[in-house]
Amino acid sequence: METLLKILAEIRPDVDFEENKELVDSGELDSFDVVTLVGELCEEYDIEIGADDIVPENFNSAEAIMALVTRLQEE
Amino acid sequence: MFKKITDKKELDALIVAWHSRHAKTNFFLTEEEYLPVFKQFQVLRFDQGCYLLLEKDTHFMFYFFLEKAAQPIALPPLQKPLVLEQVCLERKGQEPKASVWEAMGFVPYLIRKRLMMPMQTGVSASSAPQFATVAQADEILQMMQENFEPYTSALPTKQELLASIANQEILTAMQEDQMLGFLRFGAKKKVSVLWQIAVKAEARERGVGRMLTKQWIWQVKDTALRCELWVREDNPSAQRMYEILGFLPDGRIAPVMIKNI
Repeated sequence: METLLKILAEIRPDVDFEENKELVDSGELDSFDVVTLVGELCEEYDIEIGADDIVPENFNSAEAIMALVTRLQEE
Repeated sequence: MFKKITDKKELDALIVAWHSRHAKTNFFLTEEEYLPVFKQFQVLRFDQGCYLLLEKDTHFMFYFFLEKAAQPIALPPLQKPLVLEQVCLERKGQEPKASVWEAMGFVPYLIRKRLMMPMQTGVSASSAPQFATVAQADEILQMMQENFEPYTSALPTKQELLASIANQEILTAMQEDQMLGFLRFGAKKKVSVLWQIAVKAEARERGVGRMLTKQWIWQVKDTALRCELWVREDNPSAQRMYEILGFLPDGRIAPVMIKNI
């Protein structure tokens, strides 16, 4: 989780990722952030995030993003 | 060399596939943003990528998708200038680099920087807000045309401007019956965005811009999570004003390049 929070903070240093649970739904993260984040996650965790997984519910909170990463690592 | 795509589903599939393969791109429009203009896109597909051209009155907005290792290929001849805006993280820079586009005939035009401010209670408006009226629409439009560059300022049509007026999303600074300046804002989900602000030349250096900005923040303080704006890098005085009010760069920049015919 620490690594993820570091990645998130590098993309958007101004956002409180530990508190906000509706990052995409509230507009805190926009499509640019999500696409940038997908690239960083794939590199850091050596995963492939497919089109089906690029949906708001997978990116609304740090926990949801971590859950997505964990699931893809296990697949 | 190019294949034209006219089917929206085919384009949707390509956009999603490119994004999930981490193609290099400057296309970050959401579906609701590009749906209304989809039919105006000329889509040119080639082996390792795709160009999307969105025709405007005076120019084309130029979007690209390129496979990770691919370089852009030469463009077909066009009747209007091409405008390339690449939103990127400042620490990473444009991808492909400006030099690659320069080799294709693009020249640097301007750079914008994004500033953000989480909602805070410290800012207070010193006077009651005055919202623009329908009668002021033409004057505001004229000020926009006089004060903003024509390619990437996201200037509204008259219809969009009237909608902003109806939604009370344009604040004005008045001196008796003279408009000194205006500020147009809007909501992107729970983020309030400053779209345009302009002050007449004769009213500058009098704090009009700062007053309008403070009124905007005050106006949205109960509904917005944060305020957001883009400022030109060649406008340090505006940047300073926003920073004094509590705005900070969030690390994102948008260099714009133009290829003239």
